[in-house]
Amino acid sequence: MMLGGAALGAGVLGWRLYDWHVNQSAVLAARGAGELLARTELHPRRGTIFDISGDVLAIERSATRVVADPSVVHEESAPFDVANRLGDILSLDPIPIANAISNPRSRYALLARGMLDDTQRRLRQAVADGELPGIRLEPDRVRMYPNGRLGAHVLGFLGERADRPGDVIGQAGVEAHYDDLLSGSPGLRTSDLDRLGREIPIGRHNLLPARHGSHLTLTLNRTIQHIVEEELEVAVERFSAASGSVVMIDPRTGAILALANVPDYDPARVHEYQSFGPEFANRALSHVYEPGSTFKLVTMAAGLDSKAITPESTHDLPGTLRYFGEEFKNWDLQTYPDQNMTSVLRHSSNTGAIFVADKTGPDRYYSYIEKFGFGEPTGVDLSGEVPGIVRRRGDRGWFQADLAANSFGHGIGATALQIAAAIGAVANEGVLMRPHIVRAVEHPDGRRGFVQPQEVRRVVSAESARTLMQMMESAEGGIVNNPATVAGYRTAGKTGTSEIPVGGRFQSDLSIASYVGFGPLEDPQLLTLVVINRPQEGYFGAFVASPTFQRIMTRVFSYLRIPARAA
Amino acid sequence: MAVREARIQRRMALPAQLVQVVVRPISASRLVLALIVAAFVLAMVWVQQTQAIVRVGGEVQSLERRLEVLLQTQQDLRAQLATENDLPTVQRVAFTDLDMREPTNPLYVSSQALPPGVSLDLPVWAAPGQRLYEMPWWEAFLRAISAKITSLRE
Repeated sequence: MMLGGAALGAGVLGWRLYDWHVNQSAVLAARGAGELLARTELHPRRGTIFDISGDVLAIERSATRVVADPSVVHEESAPFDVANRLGDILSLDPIPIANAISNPRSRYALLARGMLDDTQRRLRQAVADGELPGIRLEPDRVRMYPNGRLGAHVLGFLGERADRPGDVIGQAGVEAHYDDLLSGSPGLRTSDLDRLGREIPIGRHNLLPARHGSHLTLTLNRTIQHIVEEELEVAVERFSAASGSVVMIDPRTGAILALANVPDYDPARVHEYQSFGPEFANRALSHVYEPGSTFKLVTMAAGLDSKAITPESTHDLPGTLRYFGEEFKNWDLQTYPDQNMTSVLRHSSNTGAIFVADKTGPDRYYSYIEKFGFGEPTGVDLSGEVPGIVRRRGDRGWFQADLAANSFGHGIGATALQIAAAIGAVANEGVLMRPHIVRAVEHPDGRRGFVQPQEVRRVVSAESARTLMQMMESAEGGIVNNPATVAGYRTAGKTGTSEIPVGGRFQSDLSIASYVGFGPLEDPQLLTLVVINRPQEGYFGAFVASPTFQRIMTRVFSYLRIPARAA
Repeated sequence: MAVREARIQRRMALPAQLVQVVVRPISASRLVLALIVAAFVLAMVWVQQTQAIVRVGGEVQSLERRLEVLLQTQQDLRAQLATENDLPTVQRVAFTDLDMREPTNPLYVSSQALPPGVSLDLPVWAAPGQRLYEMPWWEAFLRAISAKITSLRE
């Protein structure tokens, strides 16, 4: 009997040992290791963003966060005293602080983040003096944008990660598009613990260092961006407009030198906004509008390159024209008999643009629109870009009359960046370049890579592009007191005015006024597109957007020391 | 006898004489003792080596931590510098303390010699900043050759 019991006991014990050592070996070993292993995550430093001149646009700085152990607060002091003292130091309302530490059974409450400089010193002093029992200070990091709102839509902003509270992730702009590069990857320090949770000095210590984020150098120039933002703000205010955008690129490379939208926001104070309103939209990439007469440049380029027209082709420019059942009018309702193609641009004639598109033919015309990059994203390295809207022949809802409307920039949706890139192709001898914002990446190990300009495709021949540039210069020069004229420099450009459809009908008192131009024509280095949305004090691009173009180009030519024509 | 042997030995070649000296029967107890001493010495060396490695490892980790602190301090200083050199501050200093004004005639003609101090004629926000470092052609060339040699060697 006893022998049997002993055998049974030995069997059970043996089976248990077998189960532990064979069946559950891996699970138990992992559990044991987890309990006796201290794991400390090492946070990587987020990369810095510089402008092309090396000035800092966004940088991470170490800061302090304030956390509380409410149980200790309740044990050693009155919570309201602590809340009042903290509120005094942090310049915050003490009531939310008191609420956060109101639960005496709680052991952790995060009270404030990103404390810097003077506040940090005062907090340390107060904690050291014992004025704040149960309050401790922990290391924290804060993303700083030293130039405030400058380039907000390009830089973007950070938000808290949903999957890892406390960690941040880029939510817009460069911060979002290059989040993988900027954020780096966390490291891990592990060490053996004894049964009381103390580190064993001669135990195993493993250190996987954090890989810090890479630094980015943008093509953006802080000073040019400042000039552009200042002038755009003046224009939006002067004409009581709802919003506005300016894009400045180097047409030879596609590098974005400045990109501004009004209204804008302060990326360092995003958490203070109640909601993500229109100020957060990067309208230059995410807002589709009818480009109006600026699109006549695309139409003219298609006509010239397909040899459907020459600059000397003549045509009557009727005030009104019926085309496949639809009536189209010149903006001034004037008829200009026997005009050449330069006059079509000078008078910004809609009926002249219809003539060119009709001569080109829908198939060839839409193939050029496609080649200029409309209807697809430009591929810029910024988040939030939309492709625009193009209906081609054969698409559902396309009518022959749409060809006429498209020829002068109606019935087609484009972003400001698409227009800038497309007209940039004309300035760049017919080659479309991909717009880009990052110039160089510097990795934490010191390696530096430069982003090379990327050619998308040849859109028109160099000869067609040069011809169109001459026509543009001639057309602009023929306008008396042209507000877009930049004294001392040869520039070429085109105005645009498009009516805004509201509820399916165009409103004659609402417009989008724009101007796109480039210079100096000897070697076009700068292209600027100004778009002013819903101006109340003006209507036409020539009066609303041209002066802004002129002021921006004058200041930037001077800043870059681009030689003027000798007087 | 010994004299004869010695004579014979003198006649032997040197390697053969060495073999006679070195290869002699050794007692088992001595061999065991020698092995124990050798093992002890090796163990001591190993312990000392391990201690040295641990010390060096600790030192490296401590240096890494100090480097990290230094890098963070550098980053903080850079952030502070950027904050104090933001555009609004620079503009304010330029237009107040330095009494700068926008140029009345902003045209710039490179064909003419610059008058002294012309850069001060421009507001500070218009002053050109430091250019991004571009690799000179010869450095790019040398690097390319070096990369080629490395790849061939590999």
